[in-house]
Amino acid sequence: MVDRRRQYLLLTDEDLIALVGDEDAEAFAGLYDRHSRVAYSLAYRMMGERQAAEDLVQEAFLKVWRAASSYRMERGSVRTWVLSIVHNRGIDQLRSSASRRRSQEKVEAVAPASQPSETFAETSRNSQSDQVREVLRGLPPEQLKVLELAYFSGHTHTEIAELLDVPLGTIKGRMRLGLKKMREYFDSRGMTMPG
Amino acid sequence: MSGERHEPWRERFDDLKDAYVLDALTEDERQEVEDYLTTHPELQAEVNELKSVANLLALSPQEYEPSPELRRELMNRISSSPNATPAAADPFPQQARLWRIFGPGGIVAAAVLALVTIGMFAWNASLQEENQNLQGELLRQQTYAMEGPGAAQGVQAEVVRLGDERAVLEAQDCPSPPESETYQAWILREDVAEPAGLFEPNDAGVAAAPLEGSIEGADAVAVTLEPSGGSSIPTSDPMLTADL
Repeated sequence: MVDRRRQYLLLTDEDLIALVGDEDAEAFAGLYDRHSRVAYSLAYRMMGERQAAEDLVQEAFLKVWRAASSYRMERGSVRTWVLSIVHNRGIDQLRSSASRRRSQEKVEAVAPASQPSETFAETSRNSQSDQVREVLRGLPPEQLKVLELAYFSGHTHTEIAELLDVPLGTIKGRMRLGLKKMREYFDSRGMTMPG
Repeated sequence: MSGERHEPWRERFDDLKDAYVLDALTEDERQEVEDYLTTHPELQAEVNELKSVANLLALSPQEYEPSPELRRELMNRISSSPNATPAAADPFPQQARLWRIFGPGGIVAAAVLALVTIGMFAWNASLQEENQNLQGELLRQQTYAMEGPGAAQGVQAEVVRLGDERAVLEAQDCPSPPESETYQAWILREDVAEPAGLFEPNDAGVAAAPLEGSIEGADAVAVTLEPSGGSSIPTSDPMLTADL
């Protein structure tokens, strides 16, 4: 007899999310265990502090629990869906004026990035994340900076232009080139874009 | 087509689309793009593709582990979730509640609600049946033990076949791959190795990787160590194999 936990371990994300839609708490725990680390890492990068990041992850996973039946496989993987919930909610919070000031300061502090840490060393072997980090390391710093200020700090392109004191057209150009180079990296290696 | 590209609104769309997928537009600008997409649905695929590139940024942060308290708190909250589906249980208490709510004068309303309730139970039963089918499928699974140098080093792995096409590779006591390398699964068919996904064990050395691609008609499943990101053809000898 295959035990229950093992069955959930064997199920795909899509199977689990279907069960979560049926209010299956065990399936939800399985999804949380698979994706909480990457979700929390994104939340921490956006919010810059542990408690705010955990609050954001909790809010996002509660949304997963309540809205699992609205997940559509054709729009992307379950992980992408979970991360988009974290990102959207994080952006909403960052755009509230109080947290914006804090995050802006943190962006500057975090900007040099790539600080070594034990946790990072332990987990840096994650292959897809490694690929993405590799392509970002290959971007010109000014393009990377613009992508990060937009994606992680919730700044609009106009705000970024003001923050960096460069013309808006230049910011748009850096965004376009940065995304294009990311795409080309995957294309040139014959790799499919992680869904 | 070239005429379209010079259309001012199209130029405006091209000008904003990168910031749009990065969520870096003002509310008005975002609305502008979405209105344009509504009238030009053929551009949605382009936006989706660009969005999938932007989404990759979510994978780039340094990784940290959330606290165990977060998991406990979350599980507590969902266990008391108000939208939990009623179990397919004895319907009588629910009907009694309806009777108390509507009283003897509300028979018609109660009857309608009872029909809805019965419909819900039928739907719930159908979902349960689906769930049982899924679990039944797991119970009908076939497993194939994996052998090779990896097994000699203590890795216990097996391929679990779920139906005709799907399979999951499950491993225990699996060490983390060396720096800048990853485990890659392969489906072998007539001497051709088809990439079947990358995987890494968790901290407890356990991995469960659904194989990408159909195993119907396949001869074997193998695992190799490959450079991070995987390879299109195997670049090292298999460390684990299972004949199907």
